[in-house]
Amino acid sequence: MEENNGNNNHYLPQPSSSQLPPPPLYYQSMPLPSYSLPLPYSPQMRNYWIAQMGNATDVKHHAFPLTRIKKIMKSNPEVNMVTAEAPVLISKACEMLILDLTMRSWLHTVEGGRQTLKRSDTLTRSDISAATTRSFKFTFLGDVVPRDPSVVTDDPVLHPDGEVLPPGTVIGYPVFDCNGVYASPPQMQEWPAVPGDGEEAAGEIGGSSGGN
Amino acid sequence: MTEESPEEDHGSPGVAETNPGSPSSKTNNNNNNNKEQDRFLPIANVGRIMKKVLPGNGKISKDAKETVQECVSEFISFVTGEASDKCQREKRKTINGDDIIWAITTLGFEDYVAPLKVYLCKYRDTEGEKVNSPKQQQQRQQQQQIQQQNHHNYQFQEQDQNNNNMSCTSYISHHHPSPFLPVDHQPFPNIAFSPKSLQKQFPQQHDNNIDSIHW
Repeated sequence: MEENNGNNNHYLPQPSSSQLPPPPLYYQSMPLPSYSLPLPYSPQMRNYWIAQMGNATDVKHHAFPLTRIKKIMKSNPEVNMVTAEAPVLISKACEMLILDLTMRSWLHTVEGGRQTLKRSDTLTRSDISAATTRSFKFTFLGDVVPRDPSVVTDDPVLHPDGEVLPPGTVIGYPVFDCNGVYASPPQMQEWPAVPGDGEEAAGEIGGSSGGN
Repeated sequence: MTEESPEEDHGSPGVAETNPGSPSSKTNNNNNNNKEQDRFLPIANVGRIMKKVLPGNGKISKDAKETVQECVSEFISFVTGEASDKCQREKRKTINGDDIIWAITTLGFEDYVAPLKVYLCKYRDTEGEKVNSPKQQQQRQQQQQIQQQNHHNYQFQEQDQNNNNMSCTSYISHHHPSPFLPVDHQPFPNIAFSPKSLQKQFPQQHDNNIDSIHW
C-alpha cells in the first residue's frame, strides 16, 4: 500500500472533547478503550469546517479549475448552457464534499486501527468506502466506491436486502442508538418518495458488488 | 473566470477558456490520456483540501486521493443532472446558480446550502463592485483575454476623444470663438495661460467622461 509520507504542518485545533461523550465503537464491546489519538470528528466539527468554506473572503480564486468543472458538467448530453455562477458554486461545493468525506473517513481510520492491525494514521480507500456506506446521502457513490459490508448504515428503513445483518436485527442492534452521535438521519419530510427510491438504489448497490 | 457572461455561457465544447485565477497544479494521474485527465479534478488540489482537516500525524494514501477524485466527479454529475432535470421541467435551457443550490438541497446535502448561499452573495457583490468601479474594471479587463481586443478599440476611441477635448480646452482658455484653429496660431498666449488651462481641464475631463459614456 503506497502512502503519502508528507507531513501536514497545519494541525487541527482540538475540539472541546470534555463536553462531548466519547465516540462509541461499531462492535459492541465494553468498557471503551482509552484513546491515544485525537478524537474522531463530531458532526459539530464537520459542520464548522463546511461553514468555513462559505466564509472564504477570496471569491476570485477557486480551488479547482472552472474549465474542468464545466467539462464534467457538460459530459451530460442533456446539459446545454450554464451561467458563470454554476461552476463557481460547484467548485465551492466540491471543497465542502471533500472536507465532509475526509472527516467521516478519518473517523474510520482511527477506529479501524484499533480493531485490526491496520495503521491508524493513514487514510485509505477502505476508510472512504466505510464512510460512504454508512451515510444515506452518499448512496449515489455506490458505483464509485464499493460498499463496506462490515459497516452498519444509519438508515435501517432503507437497509438493502441481502445485507449481512437482516433489517430486523439492525433496528434492534444496541450500537445503532449510539451511532446517532455521528450523523443525524435524513429528514423524511423532504423526500416523499424516499422509501421507494431508497430501496431501488439500495438494491442496485447490493447487486454491484464487483464495482471498482 | 467567465465573468463577462453573467446571464448565459455559450462555451463551445472544444474551446478552452482562460482561468488566470485558478491555481495551476500538476496532476499525478498515471493515465496520460487527455480525456481521462479531464474526467477528474486535479489530484493535487484534492489532496491539499483533504489535509486541511487531518491532524498533524495524519497521512493520506494515494488510492484514497484517487477515490475522492472519483467521488467528486460523480458528485458534479449528480448535481448537474438534477439541476438539468429541473430546468427541463421548467422549460429553461440554462442552469444557473439557484438551480445548483436547489439540486444540492434536494440530494441531501443540506449542510452545504447555507455556506453556499453566503459564498454566492459574496461572489455576486464582487461582480457588482467590478462593474461600478473604474479601477477594478481595468483590472478585470486585464484578466479577460476574450474582451481585451474589444476594450482596446474602445480605449483607442476614448484616447482620441481625450485629445480632441484637450484641444478644445486650449481654445476655450483663450476665449477664442472658433475651436478649429491650430494651436500654434497663438503660441505666446497659450504659454501665459497654462495654469488656467490646467484648472479648466478637470471639468472638461469630467464632461469628457460623460461624453464617452454617451458614445
